[in-house]
Amino acid sequence: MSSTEVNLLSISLKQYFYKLKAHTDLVNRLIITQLLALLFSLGGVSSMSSGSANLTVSLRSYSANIVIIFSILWILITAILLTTKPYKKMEMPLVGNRISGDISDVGFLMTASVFAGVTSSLAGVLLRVIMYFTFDRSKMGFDSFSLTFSDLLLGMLVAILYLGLISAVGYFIGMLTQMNMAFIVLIPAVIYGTLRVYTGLAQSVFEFYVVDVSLPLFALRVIITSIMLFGVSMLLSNRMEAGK
Amino acid sequence: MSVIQCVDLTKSYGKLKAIDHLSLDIEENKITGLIGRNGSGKTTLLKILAGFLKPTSGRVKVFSGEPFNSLQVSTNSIFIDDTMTFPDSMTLSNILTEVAPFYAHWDSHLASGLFDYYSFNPKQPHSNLSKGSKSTFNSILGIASRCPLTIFDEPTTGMDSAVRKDFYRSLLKDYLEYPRTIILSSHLLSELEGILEDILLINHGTKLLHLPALDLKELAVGIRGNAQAVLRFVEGKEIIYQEDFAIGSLYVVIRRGLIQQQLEEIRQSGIEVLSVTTDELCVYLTATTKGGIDDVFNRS
Repeated sequence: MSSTEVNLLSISLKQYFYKLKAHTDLVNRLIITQLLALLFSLGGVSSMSSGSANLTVSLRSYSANIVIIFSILWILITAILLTTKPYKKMEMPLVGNRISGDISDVGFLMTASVFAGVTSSLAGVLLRVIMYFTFDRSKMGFDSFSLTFSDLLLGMLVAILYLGLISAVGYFIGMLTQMNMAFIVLIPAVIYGTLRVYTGLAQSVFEFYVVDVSLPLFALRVIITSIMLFGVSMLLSNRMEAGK
Repeated sequence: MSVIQCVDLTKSYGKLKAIDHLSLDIEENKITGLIGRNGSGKTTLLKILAGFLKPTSGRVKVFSGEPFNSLQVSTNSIFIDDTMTFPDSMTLSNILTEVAPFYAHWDSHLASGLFDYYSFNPKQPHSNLSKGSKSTFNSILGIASRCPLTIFDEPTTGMDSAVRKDFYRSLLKDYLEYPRTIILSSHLLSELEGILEDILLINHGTKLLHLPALDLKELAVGIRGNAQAVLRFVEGKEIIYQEDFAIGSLYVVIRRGLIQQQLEEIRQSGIEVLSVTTDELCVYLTATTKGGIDDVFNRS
């Protein structure tokens, strides 16, 4: 029987479509996480009240940020999960090698980031709609209530970029721990230690990614960092043995 | 043309050598049985051939390329064992349709035919299957994928005897129609004999024998009778296995070549000459002591 010629990209693409169907349970977990976060959001994120003898003012702020934070946690866990043996073992019946498996994982994580970014941003709209119909409208401050479409899109884009970055971090951490279990202890220790010794570091890392002036520059930084993290993860994984 | 070539192949886990300086050639379009005791390195060898494990030293070539992490080898081979996992979000019939695009020679008609024959529930997830049903389902993948190199590692684990027979038959039928290189590892040599062309016997990670199955059948002969008479014939020759049959009576297995000329003489002196099944022979060849388990009980 003749042997068949191969192409890395076409095989990765096949694995990607396989994984889209295979990992629906992970996506279900995201939906549950987001619904839970939305429920928390309905309670308001902060409240403040002050008053004098005959006037009391109480202010409660609502925000769907928790949904995005929960989604970020979800993508971090998902990225780490994908590097673990049970998930890597699912590749074994398929044609492929470590690189094609990683490329398809990255593809899945990017898709998941876009999905999670879009849905978590839309959760902000859903929160507004729920509040609009269930809360006492006379008591609502409408200044920041309406959301312009461009703001919504911007929010989505930024959320997607963050999710992508975190998924790259998670995949990298997962790959390290697959290489050696000692990293489970080492990674938190190193992070904690570095932050204690170089107190300014956390601040500057935070500023590098979070406090930024322009969207293109921010996007560029996030994308380059993600590509580097995924690249190193692939180099690590390429030396590992499958299914011991 | 040989599809698989190993030269001085070694795979060690720490100090333990699972494969120890193994050299072998497996020819194209043959069914080879990989036989060996538990822990003799069968699975390790097969996983190296499938490209899952990296050899510690030595050379291994599959389709003239190194198999480890090779896309070329992966495209042309499939590795079937009972630990294959599939996502729980897929039903059995989903799995068959989703795996199909990966394999160029996949026969979906055959796959669904076998699937219906074994009357699987198409809606069931793979992880819910019983041990035997899992093996049966996995074997469908192995047959229907028609890979130029098909590797079965203990494919019959948990299968009942009826299903085992069906599996051997379906494998053989499809092989005759679409010849390919098949490697089967199994403990049930007596059942497999009928479909194997070559037998590769390994022990402690080294090759003991690599012979056509028919030659293995003729390799040894057993003689049984009065102990002194038997010993007279086999003295000074390499004995494969020896067992006290009854008091004063002895059963000895010896290479046929060593006593070929004396066989008539042996028969005339009232000693029985018996054929040794390949299954028994493989057990004797891989035994650590010459007397088998009896040695443990005869120590006192």
